[in-house]
Amino acid sequence: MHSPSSARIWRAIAFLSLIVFFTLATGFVYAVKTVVMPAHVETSKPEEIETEQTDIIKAPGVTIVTLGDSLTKGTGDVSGRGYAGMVREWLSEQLDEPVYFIPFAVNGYRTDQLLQAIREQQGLVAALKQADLILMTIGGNDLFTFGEEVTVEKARQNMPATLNRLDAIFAELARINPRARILYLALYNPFIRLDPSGEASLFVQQFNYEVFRLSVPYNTITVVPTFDLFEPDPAPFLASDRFHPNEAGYARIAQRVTSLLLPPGGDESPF
Amino acid sequence: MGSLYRLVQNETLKTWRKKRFQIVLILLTVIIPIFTYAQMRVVENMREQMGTNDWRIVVQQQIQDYTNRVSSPRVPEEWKQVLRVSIQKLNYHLEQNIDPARPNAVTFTSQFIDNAVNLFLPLMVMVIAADLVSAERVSGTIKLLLARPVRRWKVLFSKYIAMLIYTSLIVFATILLCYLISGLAFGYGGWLMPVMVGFKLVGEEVFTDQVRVIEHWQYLLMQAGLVWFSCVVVGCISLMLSVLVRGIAAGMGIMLAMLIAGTILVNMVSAWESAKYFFMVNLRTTLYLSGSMPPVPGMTLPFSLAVLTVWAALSVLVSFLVFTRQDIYS
Repeated sequence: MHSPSSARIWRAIAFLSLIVFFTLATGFVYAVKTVVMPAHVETSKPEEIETEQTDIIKAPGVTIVTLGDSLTKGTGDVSGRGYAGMVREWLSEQLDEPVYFIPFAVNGYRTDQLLQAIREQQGLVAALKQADLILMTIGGNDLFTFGEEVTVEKARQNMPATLNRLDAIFAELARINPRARILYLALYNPFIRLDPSGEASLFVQQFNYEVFRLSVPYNTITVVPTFDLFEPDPAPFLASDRFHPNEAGYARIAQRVTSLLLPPGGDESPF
Repeated sequence: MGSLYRLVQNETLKTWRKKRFQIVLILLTVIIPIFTYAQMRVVENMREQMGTNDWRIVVQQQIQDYTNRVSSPRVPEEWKQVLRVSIQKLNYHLEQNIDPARPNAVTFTSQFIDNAVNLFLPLMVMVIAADLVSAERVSGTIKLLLARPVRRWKVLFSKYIAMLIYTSLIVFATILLCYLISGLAFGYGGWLMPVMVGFKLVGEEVFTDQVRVIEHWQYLLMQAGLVWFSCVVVGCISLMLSVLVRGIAAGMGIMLAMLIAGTILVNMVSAWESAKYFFMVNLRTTLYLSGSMPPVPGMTLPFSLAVLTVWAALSVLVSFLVFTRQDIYS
């Protein structure tokens, strides 16, 4: 009934599908067993497993790593870049070599979280080791809890512990990467208008001064002031939450950062 | 018994001559390079942006990105659940120093069939299974077939076996072609790479106490088995439609509508719990292997397999009842 070639096709299909059928059925049973009773699945011995990545490359160029809270993440900027993204854009225009950007800032981060991250997250440590420039803001969320009532009294209580942790963060950063330029962007006062006595402003500047004191032993760390950028009226530079900068506010901060990175004339790379 | 063997042989060769399987192969060789290229761009972009291929940096950055998305008020709660589960799993990978997605031919294949099981593979199965009976009715050859001195159930049974044969071959061909094609771009290694299985999900909490490390070929084998099972279920339902619905296009249309509805449902059913009894919402059984968030919280592998089995069993039952009793008009 069938031609010889048909018979050959049939034999090939039957043979192959039989093997495939039983292989797939085995896989199915194996999968069900693994998911339902994982403890009974035989596993490879850990020492036999090759987990080390051997082909890590660091491409030639300048690597920016960002650390800290929403200010570095760029919250409030409708363009989504924040000052860090703007600095990155500026730097890629300035330099002939490629500029890499590894953002690690997280909304709402506090010093305890950042310290823990630097100590425990090996991916972050690996990134920091590759960094040429580290941009960071941290501490604001320790002192003032966004959404709650902001009082200088409470912030003052939180200050010593915050500074202690910041000291540890600086030490860790300098230890992990003694070569990278670290720019810590100091706090500003978004509530100047609500603070006629100047109490909050004085406190913020006191905190900034203490941070500056902590940074003195490290010649790679620079504390960059931002307080004056939001004076006398911060409103045009703040986002709708009246707390984070808007695009114009971030542009001001970025301008300050870029002025620090400008070489003293000439086309030399700042790194 | 001999007559059944003949019938299966006949059905298999008929389908082969219709060149449907060959069409599936061509579709695969067109589609897979596209995805390979897309994947290559993803890897390259990452390298271009971060200046490194150190997986720990990439994964850690991904965790940070997810964390930011979870804290954003604009992200819907269902996505946040998925993200929170992913964050916990990625963290565990970093702790154990195991790369969750090193780009190579095996991981690509693994990822491809993982994503294809919802829609692409069922479509391929449908191409072959959805007209096994209705095409004979349309062309009139069914009368010749049924005029033979064989029982009707044997005729339908042979069609089921043919469907099973081609479904198995489709899954096999997909994996083979994925491996061969993506290997050109990513290299053919990766069979022995460590993979973790045994993540247990309770609500949004990921438990790692039963996590085991296996090699990637074992993982791929298990995935293939699960994907194959889902495809067979789709094949059974398609075949039933081809018995019930007279037109080829109508049968395919119904199946297509159900499958596409499934992919949409999967993204929005977490609020509608009883949607978990649809077969289309349960097709992606591989997610239990990787420990990802199921479409409806609380779904488990035994549950999904039970739902799929019931759908398949009912389809087989209905198609046999109808086929052995229905009158054949021209």
